[in-house]
Amino acid sequence: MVSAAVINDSRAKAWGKLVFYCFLIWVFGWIVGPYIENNISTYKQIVQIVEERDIDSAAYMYMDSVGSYDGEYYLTDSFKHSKRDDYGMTKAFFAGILSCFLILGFGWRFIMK
Amino acid sequence: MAEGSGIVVDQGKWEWSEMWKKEDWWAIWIGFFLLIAAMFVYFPHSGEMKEIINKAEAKYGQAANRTSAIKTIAWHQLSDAKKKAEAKNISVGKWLKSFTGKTHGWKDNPLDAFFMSKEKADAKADKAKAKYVKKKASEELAFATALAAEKIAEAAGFKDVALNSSASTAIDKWRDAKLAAGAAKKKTSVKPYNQIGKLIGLGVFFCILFGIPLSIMGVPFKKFALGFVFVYAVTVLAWFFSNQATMKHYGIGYAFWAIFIGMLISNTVGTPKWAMPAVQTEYYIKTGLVLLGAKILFEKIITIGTAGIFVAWVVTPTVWLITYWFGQKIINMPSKRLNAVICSDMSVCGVSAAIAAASACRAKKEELTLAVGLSLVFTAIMMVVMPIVIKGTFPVDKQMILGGAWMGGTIDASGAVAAAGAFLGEKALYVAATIKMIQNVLIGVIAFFVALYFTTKVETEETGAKVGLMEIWFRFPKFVLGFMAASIVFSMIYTGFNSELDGLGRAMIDKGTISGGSDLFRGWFFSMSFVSIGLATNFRELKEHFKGGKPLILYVFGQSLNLVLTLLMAYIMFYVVFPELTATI
Repeated sequence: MVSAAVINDSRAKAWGKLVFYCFLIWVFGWIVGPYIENNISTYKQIVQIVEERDIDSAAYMYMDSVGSYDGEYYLTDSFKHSKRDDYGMTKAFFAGILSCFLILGFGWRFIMK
Repeated sequence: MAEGSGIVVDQGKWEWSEMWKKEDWWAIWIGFFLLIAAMFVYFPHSGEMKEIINKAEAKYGQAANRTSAIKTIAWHQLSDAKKKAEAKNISVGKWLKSFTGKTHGWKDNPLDAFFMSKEKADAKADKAKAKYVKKKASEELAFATALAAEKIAEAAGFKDVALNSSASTAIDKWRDAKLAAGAAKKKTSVKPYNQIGKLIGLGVFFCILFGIPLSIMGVPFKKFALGFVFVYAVTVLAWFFSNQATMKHYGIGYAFWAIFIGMLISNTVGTPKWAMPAVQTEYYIKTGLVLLGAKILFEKIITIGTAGIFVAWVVTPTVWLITYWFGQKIINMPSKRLNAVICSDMSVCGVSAAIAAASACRAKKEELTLAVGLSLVFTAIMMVVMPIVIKGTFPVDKQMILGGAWMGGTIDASGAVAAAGAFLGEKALYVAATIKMIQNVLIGVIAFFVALYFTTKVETEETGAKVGLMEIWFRFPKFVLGFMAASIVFSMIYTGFNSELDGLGRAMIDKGTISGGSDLFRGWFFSMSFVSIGLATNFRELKEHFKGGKPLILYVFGQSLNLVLTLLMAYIMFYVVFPELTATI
């Protein structure tokens, strides 16, 4: 009987903790978070931009972010439009890619021994 | 699979049966099944996309190309018209998006996440319409000003620098107004929805998609299905919280909520035993990673030219290696795996790189959790602090490009990069997001590098056994091959479409097979894996990995180095080596 009471007590504590943490989420989402948004001007501006532009600020990959597509399109077309010969698959561009692999090779040989 | 130990281990001799008995292979099969299905859906529509692009060229092409001195209004109109070519907009694509949709955004009423009546949708649309009318009027005014300025510059043959500059400024203002009006217009098309039935249907589909292969691997389908109900319900809950307005503003996304809710359950009331057969962290992650591979398109690295490649592809591996060395030699990180995962998320692109590196080096769940947690905290801070620093300290003429490149190369998550970039302006947003995109492509290289390093060096050191080529093959995490294969195949298809017609790759791959196909599932798979991580993580074990605050020291050191090197490289490349190219942005 005692052990059953102890088990019940610990279950109640566990559920109590769960409810308490849920309460903390509510406090952040509905009190602290909005308070910071409304009272720190930079945050207020960022929130306004996020809302206005419909930016998913929680996106983890470039595909999930609208700016990436528009930016890619804008930049590619800008460079093509400028008709410059230092844009594209130039020697300098390949040097950049090669540098990446040389750095990794160097690291493999000397740093990650 | 050694789920209990928290590490997935492939050991033993190669047998062909591995291809249907190991989750690494099933991740590849499921991933490619979804990719091929998406190709079947979208590829037959390439003709329609070509037509849209050709029509745009016919309408605006000539006017757009009448000068290369400035980006004229017609140039932007051509760009906008070509962007309308998106294969995912076909009816099947729209249905797929709706069926695989997560919970909707909500602010005060939790029911809005699942259901919205016609009356409420209409009221919301009406409210948005008033705002749109205002934005539209501003856009029209800005357009008239831009048009007038452009006409004056054109009258001088686009040869007067001052007139060109004032026309460009007016056009940029019109673009900003147009962006704002476009976003406001989107909000006027609120439609009623009921996501509950779709969420149930999607859950059944996922249960079958993962359950049947698992039954072949030895987990009874019934047991998996029962547990999956729980895992899926928690996953939906994670999306529900991440789509709450305040959480979205702070960039607290599904990864945080999935781990947090999972850990909350496992460390308070406990994860029910019957749910454990569906707690398949590695299985979901690897499948998501194979899908992720398809969007790592190599052609994208050229987007911002040589300057961008140096900022993203030279600084990133340098920071990765120095931070790894710092972790091993200076602060003596006890776990090489945790060291590698933190290096990856901090130097490459946050959560997605952490997932790829953790799977490639077979890191423990707690190690991935810790790395993701660090990344999320610093991302939230940097998203706010960096634009303030840039605005306060950078010369005005360098805020957009240099500031954008700096943020794109250092802030971990793409969404936060976009938000911080947009704070500075449209150009900063584009530069920042593009640098981040190029860095994203590096995930494949880093994951392969990490997998090879841990297979050939670290595991050899741990087991004391010499490894030959065959042994390397046995141990190598096979899903990495699927990830690489998806990346190479889709890069080739993407380039093929683009060489057929400029912009077709974007319409068919970016905005078709990927965002209308694999992307719809990838987020779900990653969130299910994070829920699984949370449900199997003991808070005490997590604390053990944080002993002495070494992971935090490592992250702070690496990120500080990243901030210095990225800024230096961006300045040198954009303003010393390629200033003329930079001026064309």
